[in-house]
Amino acid sequence: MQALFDDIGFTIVLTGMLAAGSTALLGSFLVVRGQALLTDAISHGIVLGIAVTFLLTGFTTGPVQLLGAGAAGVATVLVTEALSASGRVRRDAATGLVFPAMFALGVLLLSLFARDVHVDPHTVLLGEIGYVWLDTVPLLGVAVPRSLLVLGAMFLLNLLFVAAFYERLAAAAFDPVQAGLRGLHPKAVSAGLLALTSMTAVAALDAVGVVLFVTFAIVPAVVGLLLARRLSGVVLVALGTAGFAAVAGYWAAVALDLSIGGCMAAMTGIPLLLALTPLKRAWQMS
Amino acid sequence: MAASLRSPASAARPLALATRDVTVDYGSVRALQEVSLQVPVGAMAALIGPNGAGKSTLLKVVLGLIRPDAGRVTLLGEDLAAARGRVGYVPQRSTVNWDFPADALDVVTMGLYHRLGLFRRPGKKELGRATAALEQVGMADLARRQIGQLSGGQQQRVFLARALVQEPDLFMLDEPLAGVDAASEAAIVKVLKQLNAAGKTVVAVHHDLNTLAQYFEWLALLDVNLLAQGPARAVLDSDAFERTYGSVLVRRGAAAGPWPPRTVDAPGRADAEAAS
Amino acid sequence: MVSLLLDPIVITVALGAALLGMTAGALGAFAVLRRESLIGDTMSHAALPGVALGFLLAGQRSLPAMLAGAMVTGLAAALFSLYLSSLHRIKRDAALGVALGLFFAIGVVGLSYAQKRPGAAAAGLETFLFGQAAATLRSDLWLLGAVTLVAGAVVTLLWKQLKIVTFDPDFAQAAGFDRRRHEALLTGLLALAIVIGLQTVGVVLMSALVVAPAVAARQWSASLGVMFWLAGALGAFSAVTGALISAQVSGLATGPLVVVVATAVVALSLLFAPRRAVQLEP
Repeated sequence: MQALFDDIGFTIVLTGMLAAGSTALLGSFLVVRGQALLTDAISHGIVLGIAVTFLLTGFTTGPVQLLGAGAAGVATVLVTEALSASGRVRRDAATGLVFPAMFALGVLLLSLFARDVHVDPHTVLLGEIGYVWLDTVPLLGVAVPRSLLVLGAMFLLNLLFVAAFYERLAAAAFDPVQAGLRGLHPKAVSAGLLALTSMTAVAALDAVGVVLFVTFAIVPAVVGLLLARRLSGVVLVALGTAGFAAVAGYWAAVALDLSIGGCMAAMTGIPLLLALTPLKRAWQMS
Repeated sequence: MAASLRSPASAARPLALATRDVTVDYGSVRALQEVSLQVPVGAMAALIGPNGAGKSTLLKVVLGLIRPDAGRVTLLGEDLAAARGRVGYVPQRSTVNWDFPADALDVVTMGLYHRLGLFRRPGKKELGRATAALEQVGMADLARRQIGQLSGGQQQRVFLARALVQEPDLFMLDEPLAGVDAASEAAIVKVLKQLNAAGKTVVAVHHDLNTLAQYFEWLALLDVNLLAQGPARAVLDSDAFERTYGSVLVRRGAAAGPWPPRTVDAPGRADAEAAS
Repeated sequence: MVSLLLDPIVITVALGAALLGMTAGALGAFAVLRRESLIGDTMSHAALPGVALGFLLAGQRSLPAMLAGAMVTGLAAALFSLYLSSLHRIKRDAALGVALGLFFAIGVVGLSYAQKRPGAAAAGLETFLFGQAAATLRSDLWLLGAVTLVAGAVVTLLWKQLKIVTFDPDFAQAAGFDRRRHEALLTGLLALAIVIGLQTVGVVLMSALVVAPAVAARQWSASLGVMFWLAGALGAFSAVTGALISAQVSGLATGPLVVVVATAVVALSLLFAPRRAVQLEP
């Protein structure tokens, strides 16, 4: 067992798969609900959360950070809403202002006060999946990389959430008004989705960083939309795409000596291109 | 073939607007089917029909904003490119960015932009004409007000002024009275009637059946197909109208003028507004 | 203090920042009014592969090559997202997200490839992520100045066309203006606005510099002309302030500083500009 986790390649691929998978899972619902760019906003906004949490508590990882991130993610959405509701700034401009501003402030704070800790702006932006195996924690006598653990937990949590609230998520995706009328509480489910997205973003930060998180959230989901008829299909295709991208990406990165995170994210483009070509029609007809 | 209900006399009038077999498809949905609209010069015409009937689409085809999948359009005897300068367009208010920094005068002046050469800017002459147009619609004192601060009716009047300033022969208006307060409605209708009396042709997409006969003397009933067109009386009495709008009461009400309680069958104002 | 201001490097940095800030801010007025803030963000992130490509093709650090590459991939991403959003069930925001995410990922890969090449360090490719004003060379000023002049000339000459197409595209079309062509031009100007600041502000944050000054300027403007010039001035101010501070303090990337300043300007404008009753609209 230990040998497995000592295998760097295996660890990296597994981390990538869990990061991509957890992200794509939530991303499917967000995209279907027309909230794709929320992932962009949240992933950038949480950086402020990370910076502030670090300044307040000194923690760079762990449940404290996850909570701080959750709060920051929700805050990003709330502030954007408030700005747009004021009537003085259009919605798209509000979005394009709030999360970059929060991100910029977060990066600034990290640059000033977290120089020597591994939450530097570069890591935050691009992740360092190649080094995740360095930081391990003992689990049942096995030294398991911390990221893997966190991402594994996150994946399970997201899976549980989706399974538990599938009905409501599906209903709200297509008609939030109806869902509310039928007592399916779309608002609560929305909030849950946002919070989990924020937490997943923090968990995935180590591995792939802020922007590639967005890639994993949106591209697999879109592949799902192109290939599948129903929501369940969309989610499954998204997960498949994410898994494929993690594996293929690692293989390509090692073979060509390129950025692992970048390759994994870029590999989501392969299923996308396939979905866009006539192959798709063949698939749909079979 | 659309039932043309024109009397032999009106058949001889020259046409301000003629479409021939215009067909528009949005993907697999047919929005307009072989519509051959013929509006005579000098008509005060309304384009009516239920939600989704394609009224706005037809207007846009006529103005060259949408290319039809089939069919041709003739305006004032010529095709669009030649007739453009003589056609004034008053679009629906919903298409515009009302947060744009501009006052009413600025917006009206934009109606003259196409007259200016490639690199020229509007000058005193243009501003003068814009001011005159605003006076015509009763908005002269609000000339310097930001458009985002105007009421719906005032915005509509500004749009009308913008078309007026071009001094066109044919006016095409898309739901000019939707969501407009009584004072603005009166002002707009007054201007339209003045224009019509001076020989201009007015074609408006209109949603309120109650005021149809009061304001317009020529109607075209559209529901993807052109079901009927001709003098208002004739269209209102037609089978096509009854089939589309159901109740005889509504028909009578529309023909006679303002009629109190709407019947259950008639499309409500809210539906009509939500339409285009 | 005076000697600081007269330092040729400082002057170069300040001048460069002023030019790009002014251009990005002013052109941003059109972008914001046309609700293109998010397209700007996509084009900005999508510029990364272009920067790497420009470097690889030029074989060395060449700002013109890198910015040209950025324009190409940025516009390609915009076109790609347009195509995607025309597909059934793919909405505009998802299409933009795909373009943003994919192109940026490719950019990261390209970056990692380029960084293994000789001369990459000199190219300062990494700095294109968060920007570095101190990387501005004297020679860069020529490019920035030229772009500013060209953009300025185009906007001046075609002012009324751009204005009417921005305000009411349908009416403009009906009045005989070629809406498609002018809208394409406006998108091209947006791409230009973004690309011009990439070295100083970085791909991740550049779009905020395009959006913020225009949003701030809007609070004070009663006409497009005023908004345009004011946005330019506020953009220049934010860029110069951020650039100068980051040039003085080592280890601080320029982009975040510029955006923080620009955001502060927006916040102050929202708080202090005379109340304007706005029509609440989605």
